[in-house]
Amino acid sequence: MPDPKLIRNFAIIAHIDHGKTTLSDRLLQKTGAVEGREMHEQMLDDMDLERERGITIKARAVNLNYRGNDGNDYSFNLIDTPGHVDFSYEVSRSLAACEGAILVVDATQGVEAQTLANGYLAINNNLDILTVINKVDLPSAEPERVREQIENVIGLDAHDAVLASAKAGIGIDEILERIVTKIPSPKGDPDAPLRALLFDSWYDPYRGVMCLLRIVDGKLKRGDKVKFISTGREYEVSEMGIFTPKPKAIDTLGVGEVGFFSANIRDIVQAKIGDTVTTAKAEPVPLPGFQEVKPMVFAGIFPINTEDYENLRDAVGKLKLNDASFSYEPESSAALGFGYRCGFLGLLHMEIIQERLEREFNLELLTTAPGARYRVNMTNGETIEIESPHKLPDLASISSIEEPFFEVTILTNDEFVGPILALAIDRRGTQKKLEYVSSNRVMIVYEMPLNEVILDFFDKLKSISRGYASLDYQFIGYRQSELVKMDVLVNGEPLDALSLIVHKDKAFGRGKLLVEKMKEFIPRQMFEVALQAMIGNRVIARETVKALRKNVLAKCYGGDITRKRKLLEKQKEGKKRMKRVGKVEIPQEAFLAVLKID
Amino acid sequence: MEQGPPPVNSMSVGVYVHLPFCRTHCTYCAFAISTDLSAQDRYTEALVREIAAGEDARGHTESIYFGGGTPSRTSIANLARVVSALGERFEIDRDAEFSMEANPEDITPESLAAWRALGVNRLSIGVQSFHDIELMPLGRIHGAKQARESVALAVSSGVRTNLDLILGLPGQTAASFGETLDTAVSLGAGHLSLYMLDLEEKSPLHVQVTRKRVTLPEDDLVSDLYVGAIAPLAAAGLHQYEISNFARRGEECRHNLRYWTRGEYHGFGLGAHSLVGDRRFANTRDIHRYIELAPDASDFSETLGVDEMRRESLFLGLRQTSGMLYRDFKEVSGQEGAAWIERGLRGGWLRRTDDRVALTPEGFLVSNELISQLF
Repeated sequence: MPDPKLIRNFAIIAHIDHGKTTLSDRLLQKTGAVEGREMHEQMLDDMDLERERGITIKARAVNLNYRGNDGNDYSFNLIDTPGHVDFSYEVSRSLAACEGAILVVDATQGVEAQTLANGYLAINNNLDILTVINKVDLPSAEPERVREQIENVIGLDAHDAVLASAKAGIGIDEILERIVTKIPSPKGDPDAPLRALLFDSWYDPYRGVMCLLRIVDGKLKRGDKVKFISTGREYEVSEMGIFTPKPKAIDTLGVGEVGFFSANIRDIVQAKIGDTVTTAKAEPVPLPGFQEVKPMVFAGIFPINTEDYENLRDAVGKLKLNDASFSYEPESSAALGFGYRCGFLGLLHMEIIQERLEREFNLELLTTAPGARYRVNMTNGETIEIESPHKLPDLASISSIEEPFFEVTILTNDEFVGPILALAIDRRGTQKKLEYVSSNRVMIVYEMPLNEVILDFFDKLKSISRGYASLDYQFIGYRQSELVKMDVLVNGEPLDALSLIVHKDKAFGRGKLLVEKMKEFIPRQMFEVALQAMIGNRVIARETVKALRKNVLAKCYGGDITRKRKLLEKQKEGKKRMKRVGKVEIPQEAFLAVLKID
Repeated sequence: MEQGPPPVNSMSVGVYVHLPFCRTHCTYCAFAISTDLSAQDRYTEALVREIAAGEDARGHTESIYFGGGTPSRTSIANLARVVSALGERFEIDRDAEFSMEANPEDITPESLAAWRALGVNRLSIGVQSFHDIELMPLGRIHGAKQARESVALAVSSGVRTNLDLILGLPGQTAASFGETLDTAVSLGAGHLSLYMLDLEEKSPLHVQVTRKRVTLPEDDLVSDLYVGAIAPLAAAGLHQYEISNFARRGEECRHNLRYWTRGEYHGFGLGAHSLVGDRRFANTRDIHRYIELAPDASDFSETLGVDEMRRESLFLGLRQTSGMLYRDFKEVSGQEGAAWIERGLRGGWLRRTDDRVALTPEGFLVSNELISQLF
């Protein structure tokens, strides 16, 4: 059990692609946690998907041994954090387990939206911050300008920032030494009853729920009976260890240490992140926990082959075991059959879940347009929350509807400010702040309904800024809006999966674009197909897919009959993948049209 | 409803010979062709090897078809070597139909005489259009004037004459198409193949169209022109007997009918297909490989199962205006057949008499859609 004075607990925080993971890998390598030959890039990301997308999804903690210039052997706990805004709650809970943070800023990019968001998180958690300006070896690096930005925008003293290149191995020794001098050691009472912060948990099919925790007071031994304060449930610790990064069994964890345990816990709900773990008989004051994360973005997920529903049910159940922030409930659609209405933290989370479902469980899925959770105030005084447009009650019984608003922070170069403001206004945004953070760098803050943010706002932002804009957003509350439900009908049959809640002023435009787009995707059929967008009983837009006139193999000579037969067979096969609404065959792309209507 | 042309003789076989050489590569073409005329002697040797290698007894042959490519580009001497090889292998009926494809620019009194001397009695001329402005984007060499002269020459020489025409060409209008048809009729052709342009992916014209450099007439216009052409052609004595084919009574192409009635045929040369018994097979489309490997140049073969034969009977049978015998249709269309006929009659896509079902012109236009429903 190391002396708490020799322990340093820290996280690395950064905007995506600023080099957080590369720096983690480098620290692991330099401290000997990973032999050169075992080293593969992005050591800490253990899901395939994380490695492919270059995004860290789950937080992990690694114990590193470092001999300081003072001759002491230090025990570092590096707590990895995700870099994407959808997972900022994971950043804050990782930070709660630390005394310090390394803020990595790309010397070629400067301060970006998540540099800011994560920097503030660290400051608010009272962490000591070691600033690292990374990628200084690149020709376009401007460390001095970046230093100035860090001071102006985040308000951190950056005069002692380490100039480094994780990739080239520059500045790594200095960073290690500065962790010792800059980051405080943990304070805690070794003789007090156990108090440990549970800051991550996941489900392991062999061991049950695994808990990752940071000891604040007291100690934890294998075989101890522990209690989760929020539930009062008790478990016997069966396995305990630290990640080095390989799991290594250990008998005792003392003040300031970070490690994992399993205790035959079958249900992840029992190991609530942010809970305080103590021993069976103790009644200590609980540690400050975290706000529970709630899904913000909702979408229907349906199997393309309806017979895959059972497999989808298994898959979402299994995924939920490892991801408490993901929610699901059964939903049925006349057009798409049985599926689930799923809740996500954000759009990236949604994409990741869909990809994991498809990849790990071999499913082909159709995801409907994402929407927010709306709050509906009824005339009878009741308030209900709906996550699916078709659950919106009858208009006559609604007195008002509220929708979630977000504060959206964008950092960009000044040349893009014009178009970005135009986009924000188009998305019903209200400007809160616009200021220069350095000579050509501008910070823009808007309040905007989530409903508008999730409809390809990121893609739009990216394209109008040619990639030179970063963004962070935070929930600020519910506000009343003039919202209506728009339905789409195909030859008079409602396509429930395409119903959408939109602002009244935008319904006409969106309805028109939607049916126009769908018309492109629905092939001509043997009869005319009418596409209508409606609000209530009112048709607001209409398009017609004319009846098929011509689909013929005019040339059929030269004796190659096989090819012609196969062509017709392929045509038949193609039909099988389409969804039928009434008599109309609708390809999957038409359902996605709703996602692409700007 | 007419009974259609006389049935194909099931005791005889058809012969197809592929002559791949062309002067240029037309922009809409996806056939196995070559513009390297210097290879034609070696190619002919390979062809003769392949024809001679057949093990089967001297099959009685009532149709020969020289296709391509542009067979009229192959020298008379080489054509003669092929014809003589065929004579060694097959028992060619005295009245056999002997078709050859030709381009207008190759047709002269001399070439006509030479081909006739080899036995060719039916010429299929790649006219495509009688308007220069429509021929240009196709990469054709001939102009409208040359086409008219060549057709007149062929008709007056006494060979049965087919004209290949294309409907749906870039720039084509109702008026220009009408004129092309009138010209074809007035020149006295006994057979017309009227193909709606069907662009193969990756053909140069397809690329031009996807890049929006060339616009094609709308499907609706093409469909109207197609349907509208049928009655006037019939009035001029050219009766439709298949989706794209019109002929004077008795001048239907016996060789193509063989394809559509699943009669046996033997294909020789580059990319040539054969149907023998329940086996379909084809040669490589790579000319160098063919020359090297013939007679063992086959690179595709399949044995047809019940289901494949069923599908073939459906889509080949229903290409013809005479359609299918109802009892045959019932046998191959399965359970869905009755409802399909019901829908088809209601939609105007189908005709039915006591013992036959057939597609109407509107039905032909959407035949892929209709027939694949029964697959």
